[in-house]
Amino acid sequence: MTDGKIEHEVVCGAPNIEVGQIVPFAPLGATLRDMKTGGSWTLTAAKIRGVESRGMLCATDELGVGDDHSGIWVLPSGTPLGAALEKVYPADDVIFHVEVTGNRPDCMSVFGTAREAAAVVPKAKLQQQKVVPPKMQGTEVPLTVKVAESRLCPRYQAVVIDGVRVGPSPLWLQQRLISAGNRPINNVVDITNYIRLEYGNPLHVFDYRALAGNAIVVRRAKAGEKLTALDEKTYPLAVTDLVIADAKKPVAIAGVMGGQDSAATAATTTIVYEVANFDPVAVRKTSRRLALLSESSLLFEKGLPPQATDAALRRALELTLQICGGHIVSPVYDVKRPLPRPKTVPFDPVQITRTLGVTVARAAAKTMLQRLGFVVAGAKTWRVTPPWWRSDVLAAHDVVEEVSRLYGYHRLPAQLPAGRIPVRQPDILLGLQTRIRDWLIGQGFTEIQSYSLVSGKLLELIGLPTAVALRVANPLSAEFEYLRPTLSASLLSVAGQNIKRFARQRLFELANIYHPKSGGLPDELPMLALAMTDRTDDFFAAKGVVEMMLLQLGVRGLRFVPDAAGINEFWQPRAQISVGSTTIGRLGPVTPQVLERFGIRQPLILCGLDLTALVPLAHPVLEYRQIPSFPVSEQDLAAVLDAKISWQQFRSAIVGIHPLVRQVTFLSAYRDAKLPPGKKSIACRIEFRADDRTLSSGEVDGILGKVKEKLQQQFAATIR
Amino acid sequence: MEQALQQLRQDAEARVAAARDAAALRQVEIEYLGRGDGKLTVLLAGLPGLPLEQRKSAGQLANEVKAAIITRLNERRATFGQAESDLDVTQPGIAPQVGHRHLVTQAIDEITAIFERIGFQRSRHSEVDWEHYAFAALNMPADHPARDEWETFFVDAEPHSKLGRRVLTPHTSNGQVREMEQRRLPIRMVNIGKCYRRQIDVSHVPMFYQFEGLVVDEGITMAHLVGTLDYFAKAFFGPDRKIRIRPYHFQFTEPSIEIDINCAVCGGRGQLADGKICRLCKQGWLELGGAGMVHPNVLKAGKVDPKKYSGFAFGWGVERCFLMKSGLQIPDIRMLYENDLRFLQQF
Repeated sequence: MTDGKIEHEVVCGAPNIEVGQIVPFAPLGATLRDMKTGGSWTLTAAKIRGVESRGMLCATDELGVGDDHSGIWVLPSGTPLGAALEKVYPADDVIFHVEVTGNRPDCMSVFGTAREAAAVVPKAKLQQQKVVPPKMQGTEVPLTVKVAESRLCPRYQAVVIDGVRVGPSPLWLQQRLISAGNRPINNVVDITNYIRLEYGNPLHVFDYRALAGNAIVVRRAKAGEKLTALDEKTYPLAVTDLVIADAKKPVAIAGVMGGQDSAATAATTTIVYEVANFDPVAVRKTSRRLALLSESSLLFEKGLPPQATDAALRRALELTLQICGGHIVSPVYDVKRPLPRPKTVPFDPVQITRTLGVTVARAAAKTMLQRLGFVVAGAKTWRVTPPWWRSDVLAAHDVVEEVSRLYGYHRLPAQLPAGRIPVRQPDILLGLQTRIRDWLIGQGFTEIQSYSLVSGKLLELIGLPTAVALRVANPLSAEFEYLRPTLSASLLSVAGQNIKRFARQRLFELANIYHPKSGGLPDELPMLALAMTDRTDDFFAAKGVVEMMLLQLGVRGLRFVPDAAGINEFWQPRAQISVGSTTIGRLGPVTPQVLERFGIRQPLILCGLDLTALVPLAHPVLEYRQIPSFPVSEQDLAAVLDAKISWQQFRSAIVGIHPLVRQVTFLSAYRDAKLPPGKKSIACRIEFRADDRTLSSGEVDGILGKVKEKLQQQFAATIR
Repeated sequence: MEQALQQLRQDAEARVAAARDAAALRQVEIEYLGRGDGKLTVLLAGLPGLPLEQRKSAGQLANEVKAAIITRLNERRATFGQAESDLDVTQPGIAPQVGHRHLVTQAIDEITAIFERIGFQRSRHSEVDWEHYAFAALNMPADHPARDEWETFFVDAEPHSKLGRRVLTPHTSNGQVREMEQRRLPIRMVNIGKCYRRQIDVSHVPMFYQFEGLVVDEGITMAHLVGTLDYFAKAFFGPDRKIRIRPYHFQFTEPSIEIDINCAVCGGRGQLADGKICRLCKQGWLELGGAGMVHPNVLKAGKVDPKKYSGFAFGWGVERCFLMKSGLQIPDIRMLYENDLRFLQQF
């Protein structure tokens, strides 16, 4: 390559490099941008494929002016060789990033933003760019334009230009496109993108020679038709898709992307510009179905007014003649349905005050609307007609918003709602969850919150078939595929993940589980799950926590019933937690083989409580019992009896024996070699108390004697 | 005897005054008040030998003397500062088992309390709901591009002929029409619940919480919305914080706004004292979330007469607000749901 004076040997592997191009050159020692780190690096000589490369040809991103790395930046012919790039490329521009909400496609362009700013900024005036109307010159070439689906294509404008010289755009145009995040391609394509940015209506350019039969037909795709688009991918078309076709085949997916075969290339001399209006829903459906989003489809799917095509086309012609040369060789085809007339909205200005809570002077409100291009008629109540580019304004509340915006939300006073405070029954479940949470945290438990979306693998680990869970149709990944039907798996997973660092854990989670319901919404069941793990078995500690918590919550008549049916691969013998005939939860150790899958090699006790069942039982009861005036007499008793007798059976036998027996407390139970086989020893403390006197030792001994007698009779117990 | 007692008192008081440290004081205490051979004890041993009258008055005097000496001892001891003892108070206390409330719960509790003070009551609505409540009833008919703003999860099941597919609610706004359908006006609710979106990165989690405020009553205006949000922002973030309102667009509110709060790190200037750009906000303001006046179509969907009633609504992210407030500088929002005990037990 040459810089006009000296020849340099440079190795370049870019796909778009051709002889005769003018390109940016970075000599040895130049500082270039590092795309990976965003930092910079200094160019040194390097051997590439055995040839020493002394310098580098650059893409826009390497120079920090754009973000394109698909090829070397090709500068227009006429760019002076050897000139410093910053001299010919005005890089120190101010760029505004404007976030336009989806309802305002009229502002998604330079002109639209200026028009809005002129209404909003006091004293600002909008100066419209003057565009010369197109004039046909030279011999007309044939073209037929037919719209078969006028509902999906309310307007289609086209014009043919002959004798264009396709090549790189002038630098000012390239610079503006690059600044707006677009990639310069060639002057005619760049013009379509530039007009879209300037006017907010997408354009497309075809190579006239590629249109079979010199025809443009806007129609639905036929079954089996395919199109290779400008992104070089081939898309199968559906009969619902709107396409632009020539006499034989589709040449563009309407409003989404043009076809590769009809694209304007360096060899093109005759072009057809398309400036059209397409139905937003149709464009959106096709674009979604093909997963093909483009700047064009994103604009069309917002809904553009058909009135907008005209100015865009005229401006495109003006720029083309100026930049690419050539002359117009066809009339401007304009196939359209009657242009929609903006809807006039009856509007009572009182609605402004009703919505805002402040009074905006009628005259001021009227001026605001007029600055936005609205026509306001009428005296007491108004008839407000939005300008054609504001199809988002349909009803009175939309008019109120226009006035509110221009009035300025910052001017609204901050008031709290007046009026009656609704008094409702507090949500009992939320109250119960708060009480449970507070109590457990007070007992040293750590609350966890885990995702309600779990993997099928996690459910398998605890032996649950995924069929019992709701599946997400479009999961983010296999990790988040099912709505969990249990909290246990999550809790085990958290315990396992922490076990190496925390041998002793007390965890709980309060969350909903989800059970599918055919035909309806799933049941969302609020649950409590808690886990306790330590190096030694914690069953009675866990039971104590659950028992005391439920007692504190006001649950009475609590029973722990052996749950033989529950023994399975997941649970070891466990207890059902019941009140009356209602089962409210389960408690028990998880089997070592399941724990092993979570990396836990020590006992872990799990408890699940069904809060729906608990809600009606957990009354926060305030009850007063008289403080005893007379002392309690305590007697300890130990008995050896059949190991199958449960503590509950043993205790019930004692409790009912005499009204003066007030309490029977568990002291210990054990089996050992010194006891006869099949026997165990139980020890308890019995409290005797009368409300009206101090008991004599004779009275106590009498009752104790009966107790021993009953134990001997009922259980063949040996009293020790 | 009485004379001897008075003498003993004088001696003892002089000795107390002369004591230079706690150890010396303890010496004096033992010498005079010691149980076995303390001087007072020894002296009083002669008491039973006295006649009754003298015994009585001497006993009384002995008590006074003892009390006086103890008082002097204590006064003097206080001047030495800490009482001497072999208790090593620098040894660690015995730690009780301490529980930890999840950070998100802490945030929810705080938000609930703030709204309860101005008469909002917490409510709950479905986490898995029909497309109807999540979109159509919110003025977003099928195929409306606004639906794309929520990266929505759908449940793999046959859709309902009228209510559409089942969605994992991408926002708490499904609770708006559900609440209205309960036909209890006026409404002042704050619905806090789990939401789901198809996003996961340092600032997004697929499951998160939103709090949704909804007020429906006669005469509700935008000034009430501004007042409520201003109150919340000051109550939650601090009384000196400021909010800024920008026009915005949501299908289910009209007018719609977005609310920003001035950045606490740079004081809303977007620049730090050293001239560097504020890393937290970059431009002085942080986006809190959206709000607006309930769209008449939404009121209609909830069978509320928009000619008689008006309302406002807002739905913001719990985690986002909390992380913005706390200044915890948690680098990755996903940490909240990873349940690493080393993280959870910090709070």
